[in-house]
Amino acid sequence: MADQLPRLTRRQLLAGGFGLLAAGATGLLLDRAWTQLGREDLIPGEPPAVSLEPGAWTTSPDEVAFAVIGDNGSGGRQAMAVARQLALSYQREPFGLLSMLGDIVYYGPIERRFAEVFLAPLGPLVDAGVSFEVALGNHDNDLFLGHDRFAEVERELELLGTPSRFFTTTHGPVDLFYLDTVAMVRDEQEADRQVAWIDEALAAASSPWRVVCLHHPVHSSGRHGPTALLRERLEPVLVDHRVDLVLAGHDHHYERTQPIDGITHVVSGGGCKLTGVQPRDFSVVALSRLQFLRVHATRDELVARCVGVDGEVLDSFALQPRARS
Amino acid sequence: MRGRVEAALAVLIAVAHVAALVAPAAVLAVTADKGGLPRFGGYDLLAASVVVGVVHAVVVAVRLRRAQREVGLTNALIAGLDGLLVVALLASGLLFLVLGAQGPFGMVLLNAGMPLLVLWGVVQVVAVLLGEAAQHAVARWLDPAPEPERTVDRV
Repeated sequence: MADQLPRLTRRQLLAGGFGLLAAGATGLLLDRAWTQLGREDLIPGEPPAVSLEPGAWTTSPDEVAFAVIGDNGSGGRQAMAVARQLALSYQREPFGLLSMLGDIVYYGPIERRFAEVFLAPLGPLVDAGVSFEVALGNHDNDLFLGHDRFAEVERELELLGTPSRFFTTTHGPVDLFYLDTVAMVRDEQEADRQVAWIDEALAAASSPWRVVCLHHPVHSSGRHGPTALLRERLEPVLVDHRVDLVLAGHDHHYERTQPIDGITHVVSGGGCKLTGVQPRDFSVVALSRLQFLRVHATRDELVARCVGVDGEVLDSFALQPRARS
Repeated sequence: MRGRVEAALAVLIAVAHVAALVAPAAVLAVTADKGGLPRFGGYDLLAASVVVGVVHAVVVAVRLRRAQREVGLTNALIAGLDGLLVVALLASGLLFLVLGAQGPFGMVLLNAGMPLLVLWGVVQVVAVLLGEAAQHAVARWLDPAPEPERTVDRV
């Protein structure tokens, strides 16, 4: 039997054996590389060439329309496609505010990439005079922590509508509360400080709607999942103050929960990259799709639509104001 | 019979080369589809990879058939498979190097005016050339012309 097998030279054995070992290693590496490639948005894209009428929206004390996007900072092809659809959405129904749920920059420092990840994709909205309010994410390079190298970007963000790491704004009948959950997760004292701040801010709020914007989700069925610290420290305060809606990113999918202790939680992190999601018992909708959110609020009703990158409405829901003493 | 087997092996390795070159673009196209990008949104890169892959596959198949005659079936297969591994690794690995998460050189090149498809094609052609060089080097190492090779029994 052995005589019938081909006789291999030492070099053939070496080259063949090395090839077999390398094949195993290559298989493992490719599996990881392709998984990563599917999760990222590395292919550069063209900024949207959409012309928008400046200031075309209407905001009154009784009504506001705004958009929400999360985790959109790649500057890649998928980010550009979502930004284009966002601009087209403005064309159909103008809005004066884009609420951003963090990770406005990936793949490098923000002071170097701000133009290509922010100003290029969102250029039509910037030119139209839309305000940008940002809940800082873990890829946003310690913005608003006093480092000199971010001064220029921070100045620009301030001009666009983001004054600091945590802040509150009012648009029509909606009070929006932004926290820096990156600092909260990193430092418990900072978490206590921001929880105390939002406790006071919510107590002073007087608009019919209270919407909290975060990067890390309180509840999520995605890759990162829920954030334990926020569930422990922040959620009780939000429940006490009868917050209506919590918007978050960090996980790269779209998810809406049924009301948890009265609060609807939405993860809207499909701004450019995607990861999988396994719906949990609290999920009403959970989709791994590129998307953003459109919100329209009057004093009596808040209607939100999750819009896909092709313009399809993937989910919509309506909330009624919660009774508050 | 032997000739058919050798031809089939050459075609098999050539097809594997195409698959290795097309795989990264296929991953991107599937991701784009799943994410909801309008149809054919990510198919340009797939088309470019198929073109590079098919041309390369023809070269691989012809070269393997010639190598089978010149250096023997075993040497040709070992060298062909080693070349395939290099192409597979580099077709995906170079993408990360060029478009990679930590240093978007690709974006710099594209911002400087290089069309995406050209950049993509260059990356794939470099992977192909390095794969060919590896295959050639292994084949020559396995079959050094001047002196006969000592043999050992297969274990």
